[in-house]
Order: sequence, then C-alpha cells, then structure tokens
Amino acid sequence: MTEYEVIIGLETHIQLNTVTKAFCGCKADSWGDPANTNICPICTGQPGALPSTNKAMVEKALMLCLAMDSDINMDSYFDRKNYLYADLPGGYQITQNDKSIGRGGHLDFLMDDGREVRCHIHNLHMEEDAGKTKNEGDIRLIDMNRCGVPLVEMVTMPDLHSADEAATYLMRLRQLLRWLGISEANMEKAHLRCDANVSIRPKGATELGKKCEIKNINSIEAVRMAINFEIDRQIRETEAGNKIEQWTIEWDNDAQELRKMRSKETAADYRYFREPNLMPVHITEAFLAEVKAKMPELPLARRARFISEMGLPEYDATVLTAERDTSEFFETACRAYTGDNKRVSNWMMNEVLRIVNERGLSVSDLKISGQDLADIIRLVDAKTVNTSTGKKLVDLVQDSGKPPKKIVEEEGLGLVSDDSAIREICARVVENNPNEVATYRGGKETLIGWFVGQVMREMRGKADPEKAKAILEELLKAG
Amino acid sequence: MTELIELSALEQAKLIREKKISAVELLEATLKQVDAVDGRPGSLDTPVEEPEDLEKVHAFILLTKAHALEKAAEVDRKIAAGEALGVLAGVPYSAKDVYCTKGIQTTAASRILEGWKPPYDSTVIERMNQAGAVMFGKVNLDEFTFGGSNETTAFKPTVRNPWGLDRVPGGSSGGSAAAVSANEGAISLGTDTGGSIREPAAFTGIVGVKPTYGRVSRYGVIPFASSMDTMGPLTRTVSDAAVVLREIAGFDPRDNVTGRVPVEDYLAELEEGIRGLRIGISPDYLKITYLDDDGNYSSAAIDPEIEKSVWRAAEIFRSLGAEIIEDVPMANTKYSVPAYFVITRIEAYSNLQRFDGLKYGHTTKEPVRDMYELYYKSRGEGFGYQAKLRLLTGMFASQEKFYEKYYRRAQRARALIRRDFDDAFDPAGKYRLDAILTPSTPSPAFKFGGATASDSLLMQFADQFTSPMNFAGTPGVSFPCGLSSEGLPIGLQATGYDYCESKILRIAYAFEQATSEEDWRKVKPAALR
Amino acid sequence: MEDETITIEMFNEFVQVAEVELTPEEAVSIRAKMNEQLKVIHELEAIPLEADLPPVIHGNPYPREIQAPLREDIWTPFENPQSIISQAPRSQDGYIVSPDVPHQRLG
Repeated sequence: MTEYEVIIGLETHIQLNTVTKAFCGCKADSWGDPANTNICPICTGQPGALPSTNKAMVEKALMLCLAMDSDINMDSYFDRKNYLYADLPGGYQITQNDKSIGRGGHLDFLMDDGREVRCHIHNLHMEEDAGKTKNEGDIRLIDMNRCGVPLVEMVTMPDLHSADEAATYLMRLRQLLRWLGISEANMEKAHLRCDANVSIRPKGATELGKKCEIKNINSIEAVRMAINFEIDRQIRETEAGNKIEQWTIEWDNDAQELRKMRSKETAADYRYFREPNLMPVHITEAFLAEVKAKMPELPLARRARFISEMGLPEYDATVLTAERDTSEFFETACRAYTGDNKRVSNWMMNEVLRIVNERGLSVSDLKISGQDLADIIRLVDAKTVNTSTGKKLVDLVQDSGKPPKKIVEEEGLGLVSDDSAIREICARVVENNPNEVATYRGGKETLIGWFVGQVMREMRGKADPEKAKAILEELLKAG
Repeated sequence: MTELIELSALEQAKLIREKKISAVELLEATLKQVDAVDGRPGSLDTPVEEPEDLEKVHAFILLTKAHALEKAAEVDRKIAAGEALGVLAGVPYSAKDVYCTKGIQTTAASRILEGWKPPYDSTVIERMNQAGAVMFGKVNLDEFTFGGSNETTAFKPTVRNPWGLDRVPGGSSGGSAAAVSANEGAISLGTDTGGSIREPAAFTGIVGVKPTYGRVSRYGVIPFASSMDTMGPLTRTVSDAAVVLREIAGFDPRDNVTGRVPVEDYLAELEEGIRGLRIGISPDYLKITYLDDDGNYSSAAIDPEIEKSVWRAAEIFRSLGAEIIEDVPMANTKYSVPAYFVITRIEAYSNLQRFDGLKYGHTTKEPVRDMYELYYKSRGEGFGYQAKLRLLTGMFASQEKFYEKYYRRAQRARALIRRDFDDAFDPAGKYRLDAILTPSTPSPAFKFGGATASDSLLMQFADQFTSPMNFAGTPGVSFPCGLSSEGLPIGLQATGYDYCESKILRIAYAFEQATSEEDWRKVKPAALR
Repeated sequence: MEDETITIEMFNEFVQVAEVELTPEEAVSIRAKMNEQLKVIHELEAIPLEADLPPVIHGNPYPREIQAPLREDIWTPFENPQSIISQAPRSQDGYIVSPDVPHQRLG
C-alpha cells in the first residue's frame, strides 16, 4: 500500500481585542449583544460612509509581527478585496494584499513527544471581519455586529505534516496571542479561526498535490477531525484512481461533516486594488519603539531562561510557561522567596495550579499572589506550620484574600515548639497507652511513629513533629 | 426691483440678519420660484415626458418643505432671541442627491436606492447646518454621477438647461447648476469627479468650484471614483462660492484623505486682487487631443468663440496687474484620458458592489431561488444602463491578470500627469505659475441626445479640460465669461495648485468685478424670461 | 492578444460574476461599447512611462504633516442602529433576511 505524506498550511484569522472595530467606532466585541445593535453606517456599508484606521489594531498587529520575527513593512497598504456575499455589506473587504504589515517569520513549538517544529509564516495582514449569517429554514439571517471587527490573518507556509501538528500549532498560537495580550484567542467565540489547506502526495514525491481548502474550523478538536477527514477522503479518492480537485470545503461543526462550497464561491477573482479611502499605514520609528517597549519576553525564551537561569527541569519550565500569568506568578514568588526555585515550582504546580484546575479559574483571577505563596513556603521552612497546614493555607489565602501570616495568627495554626507544652502531651500519651509502651520497650522501636501521630492528633497538628519525636524517645527510653 | 430670489446668498443672509426679511419669507419665495419654473420633480414612475415637461427645468427630485420650514423658523426664532447665527443663517440651498441626509430620501438618481432614507448626514450637510443654511430640496443628477448631461438619471423628467430648454444642463451636477441658474436657491452643493461641478456650471452660466482633493470631506457622499471625488458649491457669484467653500472645507477625522491644512478665509481674501499673480495659458488646453484610428495623436479645435473668451479674459487679467505666461506645456494631459478611464471604472465598479437588494433600496419582487438570484435580479432591475456599463467595464479592467497592465500602469501614468502640474506651479521652476486659465468645456451646452448619440468616449473628451484636475487632485473654479452667439453661457476655468483655492477664487472674482457692468450679465436665462 | 475583444462567453461570465441581469438589448449594446472602450484602455500602452515612475493612489501628495493620524481606539456608539436595519427590504427579529446560499454535501 502506498504511504502518503500530508502537507498542511494554515490560514488563521485572529480577532484582535481592541476596544473598537477596525475602521469605525463601534465596539469590537459584540458577545451577547442582540443582532445588529452594535453597528453604524461605516461597518454596515451605508453608501457614502468611509473607514478610518484604528490605531490599536495597527499596534496589536505590530506586536504579533515582532513576536513572529516577521519583517515589518514600515509602509503597508490597504486594498479592497471585491466579492458579493450576504455577510459583506460593503461589497468588498478592506484587507492588505501585496504590501501587508508583516512578511515572513516563524512560530516554533514543541510537540508532546518533545520534538521541536518550526512553522514558517508567509505573511501577516490586517483586515476587517465579515458579519455572521445563520440558516433558518430556507432563509439566511444576517447579523452585522461582527462586520468590521479587526483581524490579523496569518498564513503559514506548508510546513505542517499531520492533523496533530496543525492542532499543536494552533494551541501554541493561542497561547502566544494570550501571552501578548492582543487577542482573547477563544476559538469557541471565533476569536481564533482557522482555514486549512490540505494536500497529500506519495511519500518521496517532490511535487505538491492539489490542495483543498477547509474553511471555518473553529476548535482545536475540529481542526484535528476536519483535517483527518479530509486526509482520509483524499487518500480514498486517490486509491480509487480519482484526481483530487482544488475544492473549497466548509466544515460544518454541528453536523461534523465537510461540505463542498459552490464553485461560484471558489473560483473567485477578487480584483484587488488599493483602498483609495485610506492613507497607507506608516509606522514611524517612534511608534515601533513604543510597541517594542510593550513586548513581553516570549514563551519559548522564558522557558529557556527558567531552565538555564532558574534551574528548573524542562517539564516544570514547560508547565510554568504555558501562560504568561502563570510564569509571572511564579517569578514573583521566586523573587519574594529567594531560595530554591524548584521548591517554588513544586508548590506552584502542586498547589496553585491545583486550585486553578479545581476551581476553573485562570491564574489572573487568583486572590493569592506570588508574594503570598513565597510567604507560605517560608512559614513551612521555618516550621511555623507543617507542610500540610502550608497546603491548607494556599486554599485559605485564596478564600479570604488575607495574608498567610495573618491567617496563621487568627486561626492559631502555628506549630507549638514550646517544649513544656509538647512534653506534657507526650507524657500523657505514654501514660495512657501502657500496652504500646510495653511493645516499644520490648524492641519494636518503629512504633515511635504511632506515638508521634497520637501527639500530633492531640495537638491538632500544631506540634513540631521532630520535637515530639525527640521527647517521646526520651520518655520511652527512660522507662 | 431685484427680487429676493435673484440675490446672492450673502445678500440674502444680510437681509435676514438685519431683520429686513425673515428666513421663512425667503424660503417661501424660493419655493414659489421652484413652483413657477421647475415643473414636476424627477420620479422613477415617469415613463414618458409630456410636452409640458419640456417647458420646465426639473432640477429637483425632492422638495423638503416641512423640514426646511422648521429650520427657517428656527433661524427666525434665533434672530428674535438675539442668539448667535451662522454666516449663512436662513439661506435656502439644495444638495445634489448623493449627499446623505438623515431620514430624508437619497437616491443618487438610481432605482437601486429606491426609498432609501440614510441613517446619517454627510459632513458637508452638517457643516451647512452649522452655518445656518436651510436645505430645501435634493436635486437631480446623472445616475451615480455617471455622465455629463444629466440624461442618465433614472428620475424623469430629466433636468433641462434654463438657458435653452432643448439643451442639457451638463452633468453630473446638472440639477444643481439648473436650480442655481434658475434662481431656485442661491447655492447648490455638487460633486466633481471629472468635471461634474465645472461643466454644468459653465453650461448654465454660474460659478462652480472643484476644490483640492481632500479639502472638503467626502464623508456621507455616495461615491463615484473614490480617489477623485470632490465636493463643492455651485453659486451665481464668486463671493457665494468662497463663503460656502470656507464653511464646508477642512479636515474631517471621518474622511481619512482630508488634509490637515488650515482653511483660509476665501471670502475675505477675494479683495486682495490679482496684481502680480502669474497666470498661465497652455496650448494643450486650447485643443482637443485624441488618439485616432491609426493610433496616432490627433487634435481638434475647440469652439472658436470659447478660445476667443480665453484670450479676452487674459487681457482683462493683464490689465488688472496679473502676468500672463503663454505656451505653458501640459503635454502629458492627453494621457489622462485612458488612465482616468481605467481608474474611474475600477473604483466605480467596486463602489457599486454594495448595492445588493438586501440592506437598503430596491429589491426584486420576483421569486428567487437563492441569494445570488436576488442579487442578479435586484441589480439588473435597479441599475441603469451607464451603471451597468461602468460596472462591467470596471470588472473587465480590474481582473487580477491585468493588474500590472492596466491598474498599476494607470496609477503610474497618474504620477506622470501630475508632474505637468508640479512643473507649472513649482515656485522655483521655469513657469512659477499661480494659476492656469483654460476653457471649462470645449463647447457650450449641447442639445439633448448629444450624449447618447455620441458614445461615452466622446463624453470623455467633453471632460478633457476638467478631468485632469481630478486626476492630479488640484483645484479648479469655473466662472461665466459671456454668452455665445447662440446665447449660451461660456465658462472659463482657473485652476491652481493644491490647497490654493484662494488664488483661483481671487482670479474668478477679479473677472466678475471687472465685467460686472457688461451687457451679457443682464441677460436672464430663457426659462426666466 | 488575449484581451483584444470581449467574446460573448467572456461577457456572459462577467455578467454572472457582476450579478447583474441584462436585457438582451442591453447585453448586445454594452458588449459592443465595452469592445470600443478597449481602444481607450489600450492607449495606456502608448504612454511613455519611465521605469522608476511610481504608482500613486491619489493625484496630490500627502506629506506626513497633513495626513490624518490613526484613529484612537475609543468607543463611539452610533445613535440609532435601528435606523439602519429598518431600511432593509426584508428583516426578522432584528436580522436582515437573505434567501439561502446553495451548498453541496460531501459524503
């Protein structure tokens, strides 16, 4: 049987989290708004209305260019992409064709098996979104709230070779977008959308096969599914001796099926030309410097630094750089703790991320801060509390928002290290358990653990177990 | 005695401010004039023109009486209360029906916009409101401004030239020109993409200003070719043009191509005269140049009466202290025809895309299978012949495979044509001109059928002295300079450098003042006799 | 030359993509006019253009100091969205209504 190589390029549409739309003053985010309430003459294509370019869109697009290491066009142009469709009220989309804001660049990412993949970027351009349409019986209902929402379209080279790689690319991209703070990147809300160009060729062949474009894939799972469906279809067709034709296919997520779009929608000549209503976007050196100053350290660089400078194992570094807030929480905790970073990492991964997962929060929602975590670990180190109380403290701080020390004081959680108090309890335990004492004295010294446990129980965990053990040994041996 | 409606806008405003007349009174006089000369308004439901239609001007598509009365009464109230007033307070004006007016039907003279009431006002309309002017109607035009005769309107009866009712008023701002020359308001707002203000102004013996591209906001004006569209006034006097331009000009954050250049006081500066101004005359603007069937450039003479007018005006300017520089070459102007053609068609095609029968205006009443059939039928029913022709020509020229060959090449030719203007006006160059004097049109107003008998290429030639300025982005003013032997108005154009509206208005004003007592100025349009 | 004349087939394709129904008379007349106008378009080729002549979008130049700044990202809601929707020939529950777009299912 022939083995096939799969070649995938992705076109991602990234909705920028600006306040306003690309070319008008309407809100960019209409989530939850009734249909056609967040609209104006500009975004609904009223005759005579004119666009004006949103500065924040340019700024956020620039940040993405910088993050992808793309070449930046200091003068980029808007063009009209002309086509008629119900969701495009202007009859053309304002986009960037041949002189877009960014060209080239790459996104590097790790697969689960540790393999590093570099996906090259063809170009990045700014454009406006179209509206939404939905079927209702034999009609389409048009909602223009989304018309004019600012997007960056980022097109990769055909560097991906499986549905899994495509899905991982998207997950990394989503992470990066959130990291940069330029998009909510929520695929369910279509902040991040993906079209995939898929082709196959027999392994070893050098010619590219005819590609099919799958449109409207709106979740990581759907990307995996739609691409695998399409790969299977292409292999099936090829094995049956049929030619693959260059189709545009729509992924219907509700029906979980691929649908071929009418040829009219696919054989388009978009008749691009410069949008005469807009000046070119000129990026001054000063503007660029301003944007560069806002750029955070990027995930892979931070991960590398966590390994090389902070001494974390690779696994920890990966987990702690999955999100920018997580990594920043961690670094704040390390700075406050000034000790073994790995110890902070353990607490972070075991306790803080436990709360995040259990409670369905994001790190930025937490009441507990990096400083609090450092304080808790120090309390444990100083034996003011034991480890299990320390873990409990993480929850208590998160619940109350109070500093850990205050909680320890208020609730009397501190370990008792006063000899006489412990000695009194130890003596009582020895006195009340003559059988166990006899067994111990008979040579079963491992029973010491049981005695310590009794003391800890009596003292509700506040005793320093080391101290209790020493006193118990003294009392038992003295007998 | 001069009637109210014959006065200039500035004179009308002065009488209102001095409480000699009320704004309502002036409005009623204006509406009475419309009643007397205009005939029935342009309508989509007029299949044939009746004999009595041929005796009327038909400048208007819509009169907004109630709206205007309210505004005029408000001006009168303000005057009574001693409140601050705009400079044009109470002056009635009309607007070409491509200016969006909130809640008031705006048609672009096309069936495709049937019944549309814009949700917003254009910037220019807002600024006219701020100046206190009172819009009382929307005037007819060539459909989507596609034409130079007004014959392409879907709203019939078509506009007739008050100077000869068998003549076209010019276009596309033909309704504006006819209304102002027939004393139906002292001001009308027009648009000019290739001569659409200046040509009808010349054909009807009035003043029309095409400002520098980006001097007046295009926001809220239905476009033809977005890289060339300009908005300006048509008036009977240069002072009126100057004051209206001053009120409507300036940077608008809603129109990205308006320039951040201070607006001069065009009105006050009129009095500065023209002594020392360098006015050029170019042989390339005293003939029609075209490519003949063998592919060679040929030239044809313009109407000799018009050429004579240019030289007579030059003498007048010389006598007023201007310097006349002859033989200024504008040799690349002839290339503007094909380049202008390609760019305007592509931009027009794209601008017509949005009319789809879904969001506003006309939609087919026939049953349709799907969305595409709705488009197909609605657009087929809604667009007129010229709109269809331009749409399809634009689609042809904008094909991706022709991008370099046509669109980009036309854009590069545009730079070449612009260079003629840069050279002529370069303050350190050979000619150092302040303005160029040209005819506005190669001939006076032609008869009906002239535009449809000739093909649309010949109509491009009619634009030959005006479209280069749209192509170059520079300003021009057409002003009346006399009557032909047939008694038809002749217009001259003073064209200047970017943002030099003040200078060309001074030139037009100097001519107007110097010839104010000439006999032809006392002749009234035929429709008013 | 491939664009020397617009054939009936080419013309019909333009009409389809343009989504504009023509009467038979219009089709004949407009195609004839377009073919005439090709001559004008071809005049472009006769224009002597220096190799370094740049294409321009507008005739007049826009030095930086007169260019509009980018728009600040501040929400300015439109006063009356309903006045936009009320213009639609067909609407339903605040949506604009369009006939459906046909699709073909893939097995």
